[in-house]
Amino acid sequence: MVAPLLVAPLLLLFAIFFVVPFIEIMRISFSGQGGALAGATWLMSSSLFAVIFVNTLKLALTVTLICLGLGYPAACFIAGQPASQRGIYLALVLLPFWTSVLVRTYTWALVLGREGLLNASLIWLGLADEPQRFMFTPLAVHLGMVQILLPVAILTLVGVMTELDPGLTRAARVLGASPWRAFWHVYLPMTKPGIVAAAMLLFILSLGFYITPALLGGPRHRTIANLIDLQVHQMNDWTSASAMALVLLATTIVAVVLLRWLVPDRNLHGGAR
Amino acid sequence: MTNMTRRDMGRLALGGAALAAMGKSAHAQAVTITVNGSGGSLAKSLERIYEKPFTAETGIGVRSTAPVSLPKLKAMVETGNMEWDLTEMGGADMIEAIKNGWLTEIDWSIVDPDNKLPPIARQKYGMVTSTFSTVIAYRTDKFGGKAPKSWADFWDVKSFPGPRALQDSPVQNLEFALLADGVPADKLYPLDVERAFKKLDQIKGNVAAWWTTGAQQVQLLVDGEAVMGTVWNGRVPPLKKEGKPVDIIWNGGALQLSYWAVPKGAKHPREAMLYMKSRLDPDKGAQLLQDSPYPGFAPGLIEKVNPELAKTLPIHPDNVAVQYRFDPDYWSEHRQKLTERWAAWLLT
Repeated sequence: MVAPLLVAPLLLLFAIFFVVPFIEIMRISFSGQGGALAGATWLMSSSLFAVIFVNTLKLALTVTLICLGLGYPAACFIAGQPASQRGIYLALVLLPFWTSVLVRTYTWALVLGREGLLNASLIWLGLADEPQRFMFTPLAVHLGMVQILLPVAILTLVGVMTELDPGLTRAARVLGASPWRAFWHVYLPMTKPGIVAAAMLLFILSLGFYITPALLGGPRHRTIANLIDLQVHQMNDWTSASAMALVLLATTIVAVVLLRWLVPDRNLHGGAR
Repeated sequence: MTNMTRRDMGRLALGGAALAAMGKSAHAQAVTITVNGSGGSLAKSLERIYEKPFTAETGIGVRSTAPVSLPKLKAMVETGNMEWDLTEMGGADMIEAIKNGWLTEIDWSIVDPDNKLPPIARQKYGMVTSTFSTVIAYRTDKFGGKAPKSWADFWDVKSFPGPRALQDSPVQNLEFALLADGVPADKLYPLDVERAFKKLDQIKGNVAAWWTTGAQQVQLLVDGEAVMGTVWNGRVPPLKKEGKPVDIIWNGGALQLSYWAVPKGAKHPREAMLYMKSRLDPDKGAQLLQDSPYPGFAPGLIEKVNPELAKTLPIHPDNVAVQYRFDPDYWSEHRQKLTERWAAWLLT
């Protein structure tokens, strides 16, 4: 009898702040001035939406892959430390994680600007004669997003890796496997649930990124979230904006379902022991 | 209730009336109007020059909010939850809001009973509070003593090398491109959109930043992110005062009007209009011009301003002569389509 009461506050919050606005978004997207299908028609016919949608998917995918590539070795290293020292390394990862996304994004603007740290260093070192353009480039967007999301990758992977039995890799080595073979055939498969969980989180978070592409990429590198903002604030077209929000949500759901299908549920939550 | 005598009833009614009267007077004192504006340093000047004296005089409190936002107005009208009693509005937003029925008609017998304002400032749904211009600003230290003089110079990256900054919007940028391409200022509308985008193609690669807010305009110039860009005329004088190497040119600027309007469903429209009236005071207007060069049409205002300051105003005759008159009607009609085209154009 008590259990339902315990989740009641959460359900109530969810109903008020998610379900109700969501129904409203559904309503707006199907009740435009041009009829119920105005939003959908716009989505199907707009080359602007098509290009930005593909760009957003590509961006989310590359950022996810870069974060996994950089985060995996780092997580291996942290998980390999004695438990007493792991805390220090985790704190180093968490420190930027706790810093506001806005602050971290602006800091990149200071580093990458025309008269910023990077250009000043390049010119001082004689590697460039005049300031190079780094701001408002795909490079800036990727750098900013990877730096913000890397802690998510590392923390998720460390969580899975510390749960593993180190004896299994050691056994492989004792039985004659090379370090590479022990990693490839024993360690890596065991961390697969962690990789999938991290990929899922990173991809979903990247899909909805707004501030970083807006500030570091500018209008030439808009994501779907930036386009929604443009629709609402500049074009006064809430129907198309709501329709896009639904597409973003649907894409997220498809991504989650796809990854869940790749790795069955029981393996996702540290079930690899 | 059944045991109540008539006398009790009478006493109760009297007491109730007294209570109601007290409540009413207490209520009248407690009225606070919410005035929405663009914030920043201008909000501080408005508070000092207009809001505080108005409260001292009338007992009506003034609370200011920011920023100016048409989508927010739309949302508040449609949900019936109007937070603002008065809001600042741009020209094209004004037309959009009138078209959609989001504004309350101004009662000019409250705001301007003696009919002192010129007709341009007295409109059905709003009062013109100020004029401003989008102009070219440039770094005076980057072109070896040369100074750009026109939009053609803005496009001329050989004579005036360095990154440019423009607003992330087709509004005015299409006009600027046409001016650069030699279209006379009085022949701009209706815009030759194809020609404008073609001209913009030439400069796109040299535009390092596309600004969205007023603060960004000057930040880009001060940080050296751009050596030339568009700004609202009032953003540059404070920088010049600080000794920053920036200046503006009036030639080809977009002269625009800014309004105060009362949203539909405002809780205190009468008090808001009383407050609007204070903008007619030329002494206060002259005081505001010391902080912000956006003059309105308060009668007798220009006579109160010293000639040096007058030259820095968008409505100074010399400046009016070289700017073009921005057409909000055109943009209200075409903004949505052209903004989509603009956003797509930026991606390529």
